[in-house]
Amino acid sequence: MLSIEHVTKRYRGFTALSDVNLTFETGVYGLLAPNGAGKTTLLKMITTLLFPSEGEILYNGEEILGMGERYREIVGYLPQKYGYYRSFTPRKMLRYMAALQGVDQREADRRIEELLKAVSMSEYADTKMKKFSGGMIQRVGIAQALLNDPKILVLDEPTAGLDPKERVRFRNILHSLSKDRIVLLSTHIVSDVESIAQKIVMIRDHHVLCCETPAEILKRLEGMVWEIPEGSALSREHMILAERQTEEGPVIRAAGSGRPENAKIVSPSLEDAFLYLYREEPDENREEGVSK
Amino acid sequence: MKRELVVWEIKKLLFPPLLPLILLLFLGIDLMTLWTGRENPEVRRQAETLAVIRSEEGIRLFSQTEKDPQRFETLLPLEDLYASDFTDRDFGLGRATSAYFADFFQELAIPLMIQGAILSLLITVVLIGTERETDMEKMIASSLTGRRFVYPKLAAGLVAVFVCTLLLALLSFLGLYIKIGLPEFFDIRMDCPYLHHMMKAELYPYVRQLSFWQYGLLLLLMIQMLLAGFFGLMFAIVLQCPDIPRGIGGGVLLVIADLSVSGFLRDYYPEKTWQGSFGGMYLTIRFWLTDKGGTDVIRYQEFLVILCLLLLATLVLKASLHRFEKKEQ
Repeated sequence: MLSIEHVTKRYRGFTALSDVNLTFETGVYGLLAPNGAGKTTLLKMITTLLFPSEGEILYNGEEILGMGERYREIVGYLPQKYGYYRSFTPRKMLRYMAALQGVDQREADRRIEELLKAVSMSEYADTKMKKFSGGMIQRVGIAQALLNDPKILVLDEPTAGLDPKERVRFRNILHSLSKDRIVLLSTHIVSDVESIAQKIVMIRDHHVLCCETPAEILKRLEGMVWEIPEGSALSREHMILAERQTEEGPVIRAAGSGRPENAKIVSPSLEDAFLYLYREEPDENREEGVSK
Repeated sequence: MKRELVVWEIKKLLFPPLLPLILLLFLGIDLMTLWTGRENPEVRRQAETLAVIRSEEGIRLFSQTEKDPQRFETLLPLEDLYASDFTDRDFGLGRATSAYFADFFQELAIPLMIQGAILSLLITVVLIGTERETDMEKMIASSLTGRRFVYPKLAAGLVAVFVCTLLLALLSFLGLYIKIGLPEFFDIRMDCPYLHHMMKAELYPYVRQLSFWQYGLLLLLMIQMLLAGFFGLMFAIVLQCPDIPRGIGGGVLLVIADLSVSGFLRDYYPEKTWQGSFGGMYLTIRFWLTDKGGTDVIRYQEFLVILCLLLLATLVLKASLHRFEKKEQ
């Protein structure tokens, strides 16, 4: 069990995270927040790259910084920007990372074969990485994070650069991995986590807004999401979430208490919740009428 | 520290082949400089004097003056060759030998020091810069090895600096040897009564095999030690810089400052040659292990100064590594 207890992180007068309290057990946890909210700061503290200004992070009751190598050997990390040697092949890159992870060379070779297969990169195992697309590089990065069969897998924006097919494949891999480990997945793309995350952590204004199951988050917006025909009146209490085309014409999707005129109630999605919970303060000058 | 990681770092230094190419370039420059360089006048003078001593005329004259060798010396032009009251304290060499060593090895030592210093900075930049510029440092620092990933880099760098300097030294020496060969008097035979007489008195007016190799190897060892210290210092600086351009800038500035201060001290106090820094040692390289500059306070003082500089560099490096291990990524 990984627990974050009253953790605050400050940088020269700027507070990136304030009094964070979270507990992670086996399963996938999605860190869903806009860019700049503090997701990366939190993940870097979990991977010991940053040190908390206050509070502590414990793994099975033991402070992670004090655990040193014993902690790092059970952590797999894919940073937001995956760096690599352009002249290396995926096999060579993974062998180097395996050496850094202290994985025995024979075991590493076996594991590399498995992982390259899992991320569908076996065919390109001996091709130089400078020839790869962003998605292919990201797949090597995912394989690298899994090299040491980590108990805690930390993935910072792992789906950036992946095409829809690769995203689905990646979600499936994560889902199968989460049975016996903690998977922390940071993203600002709702679809990355809505189907696989056991719990979703939302961070706003440098504080943890919630750490709940997707169903619990959706419950917060139950009876608050509406679809209204374009051009209908909308009060200031309502927030526009999206516009979409239907068979009856263009409609506006909005959230707020009280039923707007001509509105039809709809089930909230996680994306609605994301947009609503991270809404900016209401615009005082907004027009009453809704138009494109 | 795992040896496997040191091997990985050495492999990374060799490919892409920037380092081997620069090494080849330096070697080319060295050989070209040696090939087109001036003839060593000391070698010529000693060879000419030796030819006179070993000539029939020399042997005849010595047999006539055997009971009074000093009279023999006055009969032949030997004033440049030997003066028994002027011997080098470090090696017990005669004046001619001492001058010859300084001239012979200086041709090798100065470019070796400059090129070794450039290679040290380059190796540091490649070792630290590769991960920093490709954003790999964070990923590596979170691995089992953690922030201690810099230790195999340091070890690989020291090995690389040592091997590169050794290669440059050996190949340049070979180049010089092919060009001028070892001087005629180098491997002296006892077929000349005057020389036999001098050696019995434990006086060595000429270059001896033993002194030659002792001097050469000690000089190479000192250069290697000085460069190891310099590499350590550069590694410490670049490790603390947020990016590589600033790391290179910091290293170059330090070198310029050191050379400027050492040069100023040398010009301002010519009678007290400054040797208390890396730059100071470089500027006085022609006086190493000789009394030519008349600066020796104690025997082998240059060797001891280098040991102190090495200790200083180790302390700075240790502080830098300690700071890096506590640094946030």
